Amino acid sequence: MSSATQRATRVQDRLADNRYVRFLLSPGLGLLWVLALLFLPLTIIVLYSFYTAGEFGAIVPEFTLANYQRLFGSSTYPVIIAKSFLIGLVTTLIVLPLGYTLGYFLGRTESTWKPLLLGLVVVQFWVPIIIRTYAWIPILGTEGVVNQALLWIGLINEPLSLLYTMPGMLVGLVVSLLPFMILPVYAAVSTIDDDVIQAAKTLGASDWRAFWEVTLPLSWPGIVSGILFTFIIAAGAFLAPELLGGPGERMIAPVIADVFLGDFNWPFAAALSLVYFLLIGVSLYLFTRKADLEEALEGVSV
Amino acid sequence: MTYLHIDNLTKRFGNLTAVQDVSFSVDEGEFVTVVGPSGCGKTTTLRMIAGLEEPTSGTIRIDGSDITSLPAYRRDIGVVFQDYALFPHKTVFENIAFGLKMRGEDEQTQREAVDEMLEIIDLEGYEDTYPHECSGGEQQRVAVARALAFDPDLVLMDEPLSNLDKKLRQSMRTELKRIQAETGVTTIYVTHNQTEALSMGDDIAVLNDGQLQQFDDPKRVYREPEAPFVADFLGQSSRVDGVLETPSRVDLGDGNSVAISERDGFTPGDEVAVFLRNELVSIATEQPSTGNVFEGIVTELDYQGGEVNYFVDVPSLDISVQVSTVVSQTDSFLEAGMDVWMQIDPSDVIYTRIDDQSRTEVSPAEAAVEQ
Amino acid sequence: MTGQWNWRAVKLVSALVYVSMFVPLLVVVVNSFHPQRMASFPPSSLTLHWYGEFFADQMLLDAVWMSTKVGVATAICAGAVGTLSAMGFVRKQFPVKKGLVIVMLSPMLVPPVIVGLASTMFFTELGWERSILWLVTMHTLIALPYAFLIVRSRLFLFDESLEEAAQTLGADHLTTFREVTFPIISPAILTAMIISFVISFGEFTATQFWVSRETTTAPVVIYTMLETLITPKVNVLATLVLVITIAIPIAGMALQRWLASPTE
Repeated sequence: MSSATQRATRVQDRLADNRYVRFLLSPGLGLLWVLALLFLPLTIIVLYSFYTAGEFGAIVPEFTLANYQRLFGSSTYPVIIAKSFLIGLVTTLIVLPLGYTLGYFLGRTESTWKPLLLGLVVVQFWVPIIIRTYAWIPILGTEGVVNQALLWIGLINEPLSLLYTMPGMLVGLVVSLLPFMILPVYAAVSTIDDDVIQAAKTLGASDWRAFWEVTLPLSWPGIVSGILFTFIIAAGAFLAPELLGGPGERMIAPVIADVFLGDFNWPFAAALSLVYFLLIGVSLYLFTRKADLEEALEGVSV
Repeated sequence: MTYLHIDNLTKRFGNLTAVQDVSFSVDEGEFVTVVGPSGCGKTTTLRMIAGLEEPTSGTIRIDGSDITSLPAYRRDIGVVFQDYALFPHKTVFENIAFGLKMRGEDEQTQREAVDEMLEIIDLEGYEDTYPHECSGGEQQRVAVARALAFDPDLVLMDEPLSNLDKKLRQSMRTELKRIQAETGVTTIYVTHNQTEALSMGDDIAVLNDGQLQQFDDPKRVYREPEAPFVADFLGQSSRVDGVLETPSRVDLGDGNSVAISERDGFTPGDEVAVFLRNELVSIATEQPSTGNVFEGIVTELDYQGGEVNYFVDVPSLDISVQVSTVVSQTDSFLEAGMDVWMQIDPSDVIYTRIDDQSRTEVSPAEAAVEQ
Repeated sequence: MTGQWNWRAVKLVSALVYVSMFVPLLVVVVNSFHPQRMASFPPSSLTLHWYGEFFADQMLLDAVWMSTKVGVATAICAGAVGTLSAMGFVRKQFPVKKGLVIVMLSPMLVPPVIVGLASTMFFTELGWERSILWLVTMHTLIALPYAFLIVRSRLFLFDESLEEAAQTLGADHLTTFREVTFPIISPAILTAMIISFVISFGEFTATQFWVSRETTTAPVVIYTMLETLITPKVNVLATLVLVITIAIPIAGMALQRWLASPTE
């Protein structure tokens, strides 16, 4: 090897071995992606929320507090935000027992159908939420499947109004979010050694006590993960309130989209987003005091 | 002729010094074992030679050229890993040929080299099997073949036998020595097993706490240890500290003394540690007429078939000595509580100078855990 | 025995959950064959009429094609960037790593409405027009945490001495990755890509901020159809999307089985 090519090889080695060069590629590229396309834009929201909204969607870069005055000036928007978080909470409370039960079933069953049954839950993850949500329209409508069945049985005399109501919207939300609870709970329950539960029983615990004292605490990581996803997604739901909810059931995500895409009032949409984002941040902060955020987020990648 | 030259090699991880000022030289074709308890820095030393760890300071030279700053892939050093690290997605052939392929050798050369290696490791016909289809011993041999196939300057082995069961370990030991002799490649072999180190090495490097305690041939390391650690680590023995009275006698205090054979570099007045090796002490019911003789009481015996271990208290030296004796069918056993005589030849008594550092010894229990 | 009754209750609830998850999908599929415009369930007869209309509608076909293109491109980008990031996070030590993991995962936590709105403001400020590139870039952001987590959990199990072995045998970093690391973790990368495709294909809430007339995706078209004209063609489109999002992962997993077979 001539000394020139040798030197070139050395430089190449040096570059390939350079800590900073390699850091920039891995993991730097992914971090850059998130920082440039999520964190940087989030700072723009702060800026825009203090801009003035002009006529016909124009944005006037003049400092104003008008957006926040409008937001907090009447109870309309605070109520919408509060209601969104409340719906998030209610949805979580319904999803938890239902999702836990199925997750527990999948974790403990010895059925030969288990892989198929598990696959059916995973499939739910793949089907877009918009399809899983709008699919309830022909079921909940006045001439929908549910009403027809109830009429036929004779339980009711005239159709119930289920569609475009709060219960209808909750059904759509709950069912679309169930997989987010089922899978992490399944992952946690399936790692519990059957002997541990048996041990509790030999020590005198009834089935219920054994579940309460052993299974439930050991499946806690799955529950935590499920709660995190269910709450955040439900509070920020767009499709369920738009497609299944009634006009009185306005939630924050559709309202923001309306203000932004319909009214072209970007500054006000920014203010709404910022307040909403900060409240999510507070929820997450409270969450991290009780649980590990990273571990909870890992829960869905099973 | 010195081939590998290691000079003041040091590695620090943060505040921890894993390897400190280690220097030694290895001749071409030599088989060197590096031995020490876990955490002594032997694996770190090996990884620095391989280029997998960057030394904090010091140099590594092979055949005169400095390779300290070369990345692993530009050194011609074969490594056999503790867990073999065979590529699970490649066949035995592809595994062994990998080093040649990286060096741009053509198919024909690869084929010839692999065939030769498979013959040496006695695994002809295994080309197309995958590592997971091979037994532990076979995987081990493939790993050795892979490290040798590209004709490296040096081969490093990191506890290659520790994952095998005892019986297989025995036969692989001879096997590895045979392969090394056949190929003549310079080899450095890391182990925590003293028997392995003694039986395999042309030279032994004993490491403790990141420092080289001694670098010598097995006999000298065993017979003339340069540090109490070395005497303690290699073989099982009982230690008594004393002062050199004359060149051939050590005063052990309380009027006791022990005759030793003279060694260079010691002068009367030196503080020394005396080691009575279990296997060199003999036991008798009659007082022996020659050698060093101590009175003792049998406290316990441990019957192991062809062999009996006696635990004997020696009140005058305040130690307990373990003596292994081979017994035949007709021999009668000593019993606990019996008074016995113990004898050791002056030339079998091992002693070493105590320096300030090594005053804190590794307890035999600790050393036993390392096994 | 109480245990048996408890288990029966668990099974009953589980069955109900399955019914609630699958009946709606079944209704969508059946309704796509429904002869009447205003569907009553179950239909008295089945027809392929709406499929005929669907395949005659270029706008709908374009939307499905757009979603497919964006999905494939997202799968490639998120697969590559997710793998690189996961390698860095598993292999390297660097300051505030724990916090940076949360940064990597944060697209999962920020509500999609805000992701959609913030990036739209940001790109508009930069003068970037809505385009397919914009969609791919942002869909990659949304899929990235999932791809990252999938590859990372595989790398946690990866024996690093394999890479060291390759290096001592003469393979530089790139060759080591190509010859050793990549073939071994490729099933996980494939999974990451499939999940990224599925996420991209079905994303709606943030995507509605990003599409232009030329880059409308299938979910956005479904939403528009639901909001404006009620036509049974929406059921056909939904059925098609349903089939794609289920068939692609299943095909992918079959491919993965096949890839993994020599080391099994």
